[in-house]
Amino acid sequence: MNITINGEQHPLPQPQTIDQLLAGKGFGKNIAVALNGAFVPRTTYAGQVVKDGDSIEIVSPMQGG
Amino acid sequence: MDKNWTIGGKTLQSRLFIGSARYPSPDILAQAVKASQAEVITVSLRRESATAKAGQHFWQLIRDLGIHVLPNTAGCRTIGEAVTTAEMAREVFDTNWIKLEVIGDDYTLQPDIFKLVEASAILNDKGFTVFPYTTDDLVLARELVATGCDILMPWGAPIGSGQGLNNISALKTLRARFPEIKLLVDAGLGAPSHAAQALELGFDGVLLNTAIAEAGNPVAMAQGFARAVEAGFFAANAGIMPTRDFARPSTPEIGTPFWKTEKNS
Repeated sequence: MNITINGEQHPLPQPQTIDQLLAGKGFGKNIAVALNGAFVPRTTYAGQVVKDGDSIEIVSPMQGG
Repeated sequence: MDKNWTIGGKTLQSRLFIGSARYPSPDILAQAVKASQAEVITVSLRRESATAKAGQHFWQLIRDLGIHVLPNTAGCRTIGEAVTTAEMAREVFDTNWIKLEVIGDDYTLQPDIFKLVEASAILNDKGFTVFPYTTDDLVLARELVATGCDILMPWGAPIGSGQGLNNISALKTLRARFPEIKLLVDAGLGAPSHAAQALELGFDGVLLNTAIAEAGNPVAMAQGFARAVEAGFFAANAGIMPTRDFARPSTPEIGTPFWKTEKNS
């Protein structure tokens, strides 16, 4: 199965929770997540499963005007 | 004069909101923010890379400044993108404040006013304090207020253009028609005089980025803007004299030596 992370294709052997995905990919703190365009609160990472074809956005702070 | 004022539930002294982008270096950013005396800084969100983690260094720098952050939804073009970005920003930056930008035209970066109003309604319902980046249109302003906004941020000129206040008449109308709404000029300012002018019109503050970040010396320009904003604020509170069509001598005429002893013109 494949998922899209921040616009790039990534193979995924099996469905994972967002918690597992973030840890596996090495993402740290001060991030926020959207799954298929919808915001996913931090407190629900453990219960949200990423499936084949899903698109996930992972964002962190940057400069802005 | 009491300089304290309240916006979005927070009490501030400075009338200047500063952006965090386009500085020559992180160190100059930090110095310029301190020199500006701003108490609010705008920030944004980017796609995070698991390896680079660029966002973490930046966020540490901003936190060390110890001032309020105002996240934006820069780059969003749809209602869904803007709402999701706002929700992500609320979690990352731990604030209900959101500078709502929904861009409708890539060339002018003009807000998409129709989507702006809809996104504003959704975000107000979700408990955000919405700082909408808007045009100077009166009816649009009324629509945004109807969605629950008590803050409006009309543009002075297109983002990053440095042109100043392109439609003073429209800005004056907004001030006159929304005396209870916090009004900030957001975007288009280039020189400290533009900021002073906005405050002289009775605006509550200004938000700017490029004018400081891309100045020859950003730290010195930040000091310039700090003084200009204060000058405009004092002028607005003092009450500016009316303009006249003709000269009136500033020096009293009574008792002037040689007064009218010689015939001239």
